[in-house]
Amino acid sequence: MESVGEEVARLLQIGRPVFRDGVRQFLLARSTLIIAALLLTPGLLSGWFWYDSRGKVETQVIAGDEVRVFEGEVLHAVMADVFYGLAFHLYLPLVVALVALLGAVELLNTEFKQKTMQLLRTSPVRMYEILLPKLLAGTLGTFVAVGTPLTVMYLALLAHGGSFGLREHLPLLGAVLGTLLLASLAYTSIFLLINALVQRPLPVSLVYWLVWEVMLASGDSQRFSIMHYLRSFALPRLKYLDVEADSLNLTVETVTDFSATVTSIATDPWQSVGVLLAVTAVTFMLASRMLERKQF
Amino acid sequence: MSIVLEAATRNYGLVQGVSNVSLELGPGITGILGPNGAGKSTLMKLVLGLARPSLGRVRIDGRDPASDWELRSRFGFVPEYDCFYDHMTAREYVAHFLQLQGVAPDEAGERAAALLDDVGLGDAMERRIRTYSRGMRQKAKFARAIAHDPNLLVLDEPFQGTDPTTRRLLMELIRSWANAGRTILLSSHILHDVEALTDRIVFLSGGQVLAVGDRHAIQKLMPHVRQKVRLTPADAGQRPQLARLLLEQPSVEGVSLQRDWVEVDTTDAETFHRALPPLLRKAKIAIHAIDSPGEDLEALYEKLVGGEQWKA
Repeated sequence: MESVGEEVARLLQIGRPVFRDGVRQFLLARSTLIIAALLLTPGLLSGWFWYDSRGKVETQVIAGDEVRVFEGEVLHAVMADVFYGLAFHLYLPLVVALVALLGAVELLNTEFKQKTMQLLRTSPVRMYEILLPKLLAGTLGTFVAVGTPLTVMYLALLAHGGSFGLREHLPLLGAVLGTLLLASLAYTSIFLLINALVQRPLPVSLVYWLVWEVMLASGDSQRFSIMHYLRSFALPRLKYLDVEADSLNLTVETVTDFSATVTSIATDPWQSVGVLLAVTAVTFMLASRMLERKQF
Repeated sequence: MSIVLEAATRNYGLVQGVSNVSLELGPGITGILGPNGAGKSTLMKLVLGLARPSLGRVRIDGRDPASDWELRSRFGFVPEYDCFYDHMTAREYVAHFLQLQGVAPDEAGERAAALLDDVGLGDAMERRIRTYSRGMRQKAKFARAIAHDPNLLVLDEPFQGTDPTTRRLLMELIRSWANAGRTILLSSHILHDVEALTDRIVFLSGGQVLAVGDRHAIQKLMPHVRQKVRLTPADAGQRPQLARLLLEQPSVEGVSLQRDWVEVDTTDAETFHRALPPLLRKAKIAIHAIDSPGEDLEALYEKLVGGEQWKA
């Protein structure tokens, strides 16, 4: 039996080339580059706003801070709302899963397509030693591919609010990037499992995502979706923007004869992290086992 | 390394890969022959642990290759198909798999470069493999398979798509590995290549072993198979006399008179060869050469796979 130290050293030694190659493969994939370029579009559009509003933005000092105002609206607050909306209603629920899905296919399914999996299976490695660096590469790849355009968008939008706006909403950027990291990890592990299970993972992953994560992710049933825990994690970090549970679809409506009551079903944020890590661990172990038992 | 298959059967759903195969193979080169779908690749997958037997068992040095991951450090595999990372250069590819064997990155890079140089890819090692010709890819596969100095080499159609020079180079490499005491399993459709490398053969057909052992010994075990023997007399004028004498032999089925030789058809080669020397002495006929044009591997293969040996 190897000691824990030896096991970690072995994991690092074997994992390093697989991880490095996986990140390169993921980030240089055509699909990743196209999606990342598309995701930069909202950031570029903010340049148009700058052009359109030139000369109309005033700087006012409110409570000792230099704040920019446009047509009576405090610009950094407006832009933070726009950033929050795009991040939590477009990028995080839709784009992250799609990028993680394509990344998992690139990382694992291509091993089957290129028949290199048979070489890995005739190498003196256990499948988790290959899968773990792939999980980390997929997580990092998704985080970088979506996080970079999100950060650029944050800078482009909040720059309209001046340096005060950029500083003021760093907690929002932190919430977005934190949620993105958890989403990248959980979705990558789920899609890697699907890749280990089926020969055609792309349609199966799309069906899972659309049926499970998009259609079922409302009402009580959302507790079975990854999105619920991601939103629950983010909610307390967005309180300063007055974002409530209903804004993140974390509510259920109970209708009685006389009234309708809306209650929050948000899970405790740290419990949410625990659930997401548990899902990652379970799917990772299942995927490793499936690969170990795969017959050729 | 010793390879033992005990009544190993491997099914793919309703399709049978190999059925009830029992074999014991040791160091040196063993050629695996059989038509498409004979079960050659399945046999190799069982040996490598890529497939588990549905029935029976497979042991390499007494260990199960399907579950013993450490055993795999001693395996080298050249698959029939392409198995490359498109985005890698040959050097990166070989070094990548060396690192999976536990070799440090710098050393892996140096060893990969030296090996690729040895197989004639020194100038092309920094090019992506997807730009390689078929022969170059085959060399890259070889380099990857031997980089970690394995004891067991499994070569599935290793000469596919190679030009004569590459083929000769690879054959020399294979011979040198065999001489170093390694166990080599080799399948090829080009029977001449197998013949050039080894006499030890496993014939497969329909997932079953038809024959195993030295090809000359197999030939002897097939008494009812029609064989040709070509006798070239030192004096060509003696051909008609020789033909007449041979026709009188009970083991001879037919004789044809050619320009330089007499060709005999026999279904009992052993009796024929026993009877030949006294016959020639008595008739005072000197023979310049005796060959068996049908006794090459291809003819044996045809006979076995065609089922001729089962004819009474």
